Amino acid sequence: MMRKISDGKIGVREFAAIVLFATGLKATDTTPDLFIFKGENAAWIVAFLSTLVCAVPLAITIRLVSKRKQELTDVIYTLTGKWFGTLIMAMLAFFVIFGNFINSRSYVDIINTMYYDNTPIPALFLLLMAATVFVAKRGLETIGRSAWLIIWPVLFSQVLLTWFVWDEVRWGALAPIAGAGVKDLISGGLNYYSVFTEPIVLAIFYCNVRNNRSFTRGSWIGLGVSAAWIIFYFALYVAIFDYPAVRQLNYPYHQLARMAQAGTITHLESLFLGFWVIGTVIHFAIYLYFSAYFFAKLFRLTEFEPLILPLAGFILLAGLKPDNIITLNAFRDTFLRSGSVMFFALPVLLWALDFWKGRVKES
Amino acid sequence: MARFLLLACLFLFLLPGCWNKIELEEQAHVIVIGLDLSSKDHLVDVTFQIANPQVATTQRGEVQNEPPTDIITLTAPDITMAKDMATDIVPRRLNFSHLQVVIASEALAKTEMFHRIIAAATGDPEMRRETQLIITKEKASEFIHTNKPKLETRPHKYYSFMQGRWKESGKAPFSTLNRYYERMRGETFMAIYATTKRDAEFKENEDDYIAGQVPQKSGDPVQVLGTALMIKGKLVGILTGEETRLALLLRNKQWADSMIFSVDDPLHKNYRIGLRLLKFEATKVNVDVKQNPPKVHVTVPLKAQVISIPSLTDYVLNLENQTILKRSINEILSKRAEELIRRCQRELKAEPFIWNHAVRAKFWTWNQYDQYDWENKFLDAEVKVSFDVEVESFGKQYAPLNFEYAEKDE
Repeated sequence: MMRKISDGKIGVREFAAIVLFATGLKATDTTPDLFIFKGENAAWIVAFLSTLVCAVPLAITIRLVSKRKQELTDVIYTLTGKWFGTLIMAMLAFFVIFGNFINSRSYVDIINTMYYDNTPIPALFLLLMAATVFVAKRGLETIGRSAWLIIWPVLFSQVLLTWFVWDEVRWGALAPIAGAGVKDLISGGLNYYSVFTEPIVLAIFYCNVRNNRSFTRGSWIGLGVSAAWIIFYFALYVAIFDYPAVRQLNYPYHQLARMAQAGTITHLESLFLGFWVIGTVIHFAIYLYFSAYFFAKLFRLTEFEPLILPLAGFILLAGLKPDNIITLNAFRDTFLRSGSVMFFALPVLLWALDFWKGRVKES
Repeated sequence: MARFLLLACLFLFLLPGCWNKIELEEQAHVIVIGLDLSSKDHLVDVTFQIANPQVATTQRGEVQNEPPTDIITLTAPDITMAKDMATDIVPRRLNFSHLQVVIASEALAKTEMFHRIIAAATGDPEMRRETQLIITKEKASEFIHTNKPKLETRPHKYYSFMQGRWKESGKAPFSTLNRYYERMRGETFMAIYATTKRDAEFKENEDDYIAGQVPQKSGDPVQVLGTALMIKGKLVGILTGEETRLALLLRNKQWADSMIFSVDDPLHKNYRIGLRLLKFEATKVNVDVKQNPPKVHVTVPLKAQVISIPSLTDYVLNLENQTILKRSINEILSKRAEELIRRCQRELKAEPFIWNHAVRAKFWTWNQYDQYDWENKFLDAEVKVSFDVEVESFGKQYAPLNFEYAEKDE
């Protein structure tokens, strides 16, 4: 018998782990490339600024949902009304699903290029989506628990990797400290902060988290640890590969894993691949789960778990469409820029509406 | 139990790696790649040294007639093409994942073909960034054919042991492909210099040689000593073993664990004193970019252990002599370092000391740093080097055994 989805509630640990896997794993995909293109050797400062920028809409969102005791989509509907709400939801659902397929294709490309070059991309994609559906189908509680279960091994593997490449680190490569220039760093921080917006999106699970405190703390801890992970790795990539050489790397994390050396033992990348793939599956299970949730909310469907499988099929087909990853990266750039505008405007708009409605009520 | 078996069967399907399944036996591991100029334009001679995995295993007995390695040379547009061409000859599938060294001849390294070949090869996922880069005096293929170390049958062991020695002694730099890619903006890359050719010379200073000059009788054919300096992928000059060490010492971070060095005996000029130099602290590099030409001040903190005093002078108990020795070590090292820097500025026009990191720290943005053009500014820079050596210990005796002492005691 299948378990009812979102039956039990999750605690702060599970929620923080979910936020972390949804956001922090981006340190290891093609996200660094975007930041390095923008901020040059100061990519880590761009990431830092992005985190700061992202904290504003996140704080507003957390305040809103905990004040109204409603999850994000309900807040949107009640505050903006049926028609406008549907419009906003359509945009969000499009954004989430689009992001899902771009990212999953880029992860498949990583596995294909760096590890399984003879294996056809459709086969790898199918396997990834199958594993993802397998986890997502079991509901938020299972996702949360498995995320919490493997968060320590994954973080430990990151520490281990850092240790194994430590000999090659030259922090001097981080100078000149401002990289591309202060103006570019700030514009990068404003344009690309949508990399960190998952905690905002995950406010849709407000009602599935045990209590208000768990939700707030989970969001902030998740964002904080993810940001630390991303910022540190961006700095590490530059310190090891040096700028401008780091600019030419598609997948710096995986190049790093290849350089890892424990004493005289080399070729350790398969060890890190193992942890990374498990993390990837959790990452996309979360994505798939909330994509289905958004979709169901958009069309006012009461059940959303039957949507998971068809949605995975859609992502698979859409993801196979682009020729190669470079076209995708160009997409992703525009996508993140527009996302940055949207995820700032939306919470501010909701907050203003909330404020206004409150005043109307009072008077 | 049944469950366990089921699980075990599941792994049979999970672990083979889909389409990337490859049997151990079907692979041919290339340990060394040699690159030479070809007589044809735009082509290179690529030499593969392929390890025979059965040698030095329990299967040794079955393959007594097989050599430990197979060497083939192909003329191809680049390494990847050569790898493909090799499938027509080698029955097993060529695999670069255990590639240890890329060897290029001096002749090739002087042309821009070298960079084209290396850069093209980076796209191959099997190429790894920790692969060593060696420049040889003779043709790379000749080097590979001649290099038959007596005590190491398997080539990968030979290179991995040698790598350990280089790191320790600092007479050859630590040169990997990753380091090479890092120096893309016109910085100087230090590659290992090696040869099997002999051109013996006798010098008083035991590390003032380059590979091939060390007076050697019998033993392994290869000498690895010194540095091939490369700028923008082209060879610009060779540093001797001693210059290599000094260059490494002048770098902010260095690799040599402990180097044996010799300096003139300050009281008996005909003799030399053997030292072991240890570098625990980072070199301090201070570049004043506001002045033109820029002023560079480098301080190298070192610990020294005196290991041999052939003049048998008492530098240990006689504290006055100790001070003389210390001052003299500092002076000699500073003088030699400044000579090396002058050579780099005038003759080689190269800056292998990675002082650009110190210069980068003086600027806010890449643009400003690019405009400053450190590589050119360095050529006229006023450099002052001061060594700060502490004599840490004198070995396990108070003083060298001396007949004079023996006479006095009686």
